[in-house]
Amino acid sequence: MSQANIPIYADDNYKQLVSRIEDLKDERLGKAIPKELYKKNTFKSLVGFFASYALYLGSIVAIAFSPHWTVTIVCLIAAGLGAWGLHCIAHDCGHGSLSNNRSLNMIVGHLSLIPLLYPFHAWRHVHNMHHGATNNLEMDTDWRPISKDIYNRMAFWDRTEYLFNRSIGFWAGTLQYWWKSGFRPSFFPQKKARNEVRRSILFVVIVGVIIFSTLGYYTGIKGILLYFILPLLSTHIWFSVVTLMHHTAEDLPFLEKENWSLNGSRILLTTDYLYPKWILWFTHNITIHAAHHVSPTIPYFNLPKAQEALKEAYPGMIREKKFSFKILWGIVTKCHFYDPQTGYYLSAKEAKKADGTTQTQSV
Amino acid sequence: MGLLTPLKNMFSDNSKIIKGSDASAVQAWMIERLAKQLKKDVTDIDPARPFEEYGLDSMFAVQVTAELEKVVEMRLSPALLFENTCIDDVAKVISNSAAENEQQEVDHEPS
Repeated sequence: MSQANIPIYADDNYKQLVSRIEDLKDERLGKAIPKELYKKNTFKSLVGFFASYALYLGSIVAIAFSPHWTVTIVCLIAAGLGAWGLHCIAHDCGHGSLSNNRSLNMIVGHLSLIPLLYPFHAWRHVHNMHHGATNNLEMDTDWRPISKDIYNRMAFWDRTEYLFNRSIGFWAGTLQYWWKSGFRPSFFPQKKARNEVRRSILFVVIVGVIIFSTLGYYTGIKGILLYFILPLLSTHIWFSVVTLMHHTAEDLPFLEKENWSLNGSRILLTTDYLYPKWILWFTHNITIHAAHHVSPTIPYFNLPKAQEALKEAYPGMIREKKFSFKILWGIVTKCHFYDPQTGYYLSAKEAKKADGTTQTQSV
Repeated sequence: MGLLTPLKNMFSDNSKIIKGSDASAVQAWMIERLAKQLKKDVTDIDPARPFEEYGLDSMFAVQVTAELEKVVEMRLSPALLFENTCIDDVAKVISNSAAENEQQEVDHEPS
């Protein structure tokens, strides 16, 4: 293993991780997962789709009849869970694991992303970029940290947006992701992808106009807010929390390209989170995530078994944790900047202190 | 149909594509792009000459990389033209990377 790009203060865990990533470079990880787990079952997948839509729409109806604001909040969280579950179904559609029929994947994918007004093909393509560069410091599209040095050279608005999304505004991080990747065909290198994205945007614009004008006509601004915008924001909280926690942790680094390998990233740079069973069911096992990165075509209902197979074949390599707000708190208060010296993270406070030290030294 | 053509064109991208694995085609595109930028003839561009000798700035490097991504239909490092000093090196890196991508796609299929 080349030591040339190992951060100077990298600890033993970091070095061991990079060494393991190098060792796995040519490993065919997917082979460890039994073939039958790749088998699609459209009916089973569609049960998830209808259950999530029922939860989403049912919660919105409940909001309309809510007797008290506290009930409304619970209904909003449930609506968010429903629409987040739908996103997880769209996720399967994007990887082609809902059905062998491409058109069906596309139709269900578009329908599932209506509560988020997310153009399906844009999401699909940007998500594939994430799979191709998970925790690659230069190329990942999801929650990629930057160093304080780069941050200092950014425009004021970009700095504000970056730090807000990684700290107090973490719950809105995917809103920025949606806006930046969802409506910009030029984001994608492939011509075919750009054309698909344009068609998805057209679909979202038409559906959006129908939703807003219908809700506006019958329920006014309050209705638009209560029955669409707030559930959308609630969905983004789920979306942000889950995706942030998948690949960001105080002890889980983003790597320089010289230390990174696609195969290694698939299994070693992800944290699987155990939620209560009913949440796992409604989120369609999205947090059983390393197995998904190893083989994205595995349908969601087979991910627990695929995870077990991987654990057996690669003992000690799957990072599995029980979800806790403490872990989330640790991430949003400490993982602000990439630290080139340790390879891990610096909090905004630590980075500011380091800036001061550098300035003092240079005087 | 005539009325629908402009709408259809809005949703159809017809930009030129070349294969990333074809190093000579990438090289030819880069030569043409540099010649256009420098307002020179393509014969005046030496693919082995370092970019900095042409007086190209970082803005141009980032812009060309973004354009090149769409031409070869591959994600490229924004630092591509900083880490590789001349057209020949860039073409070589892209063709190697294209070959690697093809191999990874094969490896990723369940068997």
